[in-house]
Amino acid sequence: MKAKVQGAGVSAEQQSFAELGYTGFPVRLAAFEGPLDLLVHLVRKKEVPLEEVPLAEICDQYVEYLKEAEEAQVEVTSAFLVMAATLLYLKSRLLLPQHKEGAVEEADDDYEETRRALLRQVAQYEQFSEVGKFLQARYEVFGRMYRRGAASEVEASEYDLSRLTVEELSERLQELLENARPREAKLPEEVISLTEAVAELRRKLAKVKAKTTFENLTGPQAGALELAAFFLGLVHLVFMQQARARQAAPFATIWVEPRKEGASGAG
Amino acid sequence: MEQAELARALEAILFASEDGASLSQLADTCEVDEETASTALAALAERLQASSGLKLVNVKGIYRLVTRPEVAPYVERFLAQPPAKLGPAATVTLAIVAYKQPITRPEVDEIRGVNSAYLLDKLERRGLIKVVGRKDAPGRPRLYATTDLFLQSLGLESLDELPKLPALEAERAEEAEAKQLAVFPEVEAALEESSPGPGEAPRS
Repeated sequence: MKAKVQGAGVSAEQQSFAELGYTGFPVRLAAFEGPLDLLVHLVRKKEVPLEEVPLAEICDQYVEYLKEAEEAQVEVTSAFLVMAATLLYLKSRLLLPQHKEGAVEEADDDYEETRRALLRQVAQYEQFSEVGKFLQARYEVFGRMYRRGAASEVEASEYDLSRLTVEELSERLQELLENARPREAKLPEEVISLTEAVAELRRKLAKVKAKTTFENLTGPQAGALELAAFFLGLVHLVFMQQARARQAAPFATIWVEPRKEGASGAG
Repeated sequence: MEQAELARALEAILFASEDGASLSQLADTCEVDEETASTALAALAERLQASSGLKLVNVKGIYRLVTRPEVAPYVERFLAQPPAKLGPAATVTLAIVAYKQPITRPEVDEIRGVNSAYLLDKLERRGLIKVVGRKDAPGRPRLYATTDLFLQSLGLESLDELPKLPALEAERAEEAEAKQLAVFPEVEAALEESSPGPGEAPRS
């Protein structure tokens, strides 16, 4: 039987496949159209030749399907991975070279070796599980002796997530994301360049008759960066002999006085 | 120094040292020979046994003061820590690591027949095993080994005190025999690393 299924409404087809117990993701290939799990079943029974099953195309169709699907169905997506992995495995076996000469003899050797390894593994496992009981009994006594500093070493409590479904986890995450407050944005302080500060000081000093305070020149709203720029500007003006500055004591008011005589380039 | 006084000094040092101290450290600190220190430690252990909530333990030559198991419920209540317990799967995993260390997760998986990632993680968080390096193999898997806390938590002084496992011994003997049979063991080792060897049939 070549499982070339074609014809009317896909939904009707899917309905009939579902009745047969095949509910996998629907693929459309030259050699086959129908649920992926049915395809894998037929490949295994050698009713569809594996050479005619392009894995890349199946994967492309799956990606398309995922893009169109409005919400991911966990069963379908995980089942796809299993089916795709099975096909990939079958295909890789097909591609690998097979033994011809002396294959039987070697297979016997292999078999014997595998059998011995398996038996040994079982024996080992039994012993580990015996000794495990011994360790468990001792741990329940000696594991309860605490060192100094044990209080700070207490392991983070474990959470039992075994009963949580993927949907619940996803819902909870959505809630957390929605409740997460957006970070408060902080605008950077207005920055004024030294050149701008000097120009501003000159402009203001030009209107001053006798003297004024540094605070008057900067304005009461000036931030730290602005103050620094204005202070450097003032130092520049003093250096250029365009102003005088006096301060009676550290942190006291700075009095600024324009100097007309040295203000050759003042505008 | 009189022995009772020496024992008190050792007790105080061990109390103050968070990571414990070796016999030679203790002897040097108290300016006595190791034999004297050892005798004093034995006296201290006896005195603690008789009337203390603490106990002197020796793990791989490091002496420590720990709380006695009998008073564990009180300590656990204070630390808000559930009593130490390991399920059967965890103890089998722990046994495998203890006997075959250093060992990778895939190797543990192979013995147990199931994925052991969660259990190894749990044992690591309990401080019973730790990653000691990576195996020089594809994927460079992490190598796990038991910790000193493992020995302490089982009341063992060293790994030699673990019971012998006949099946494991047999396997080790077989491996040793195979190595002896090889005429040039180093050549065998080199061949093992460069695979596939010349004249070897391709593996299916």
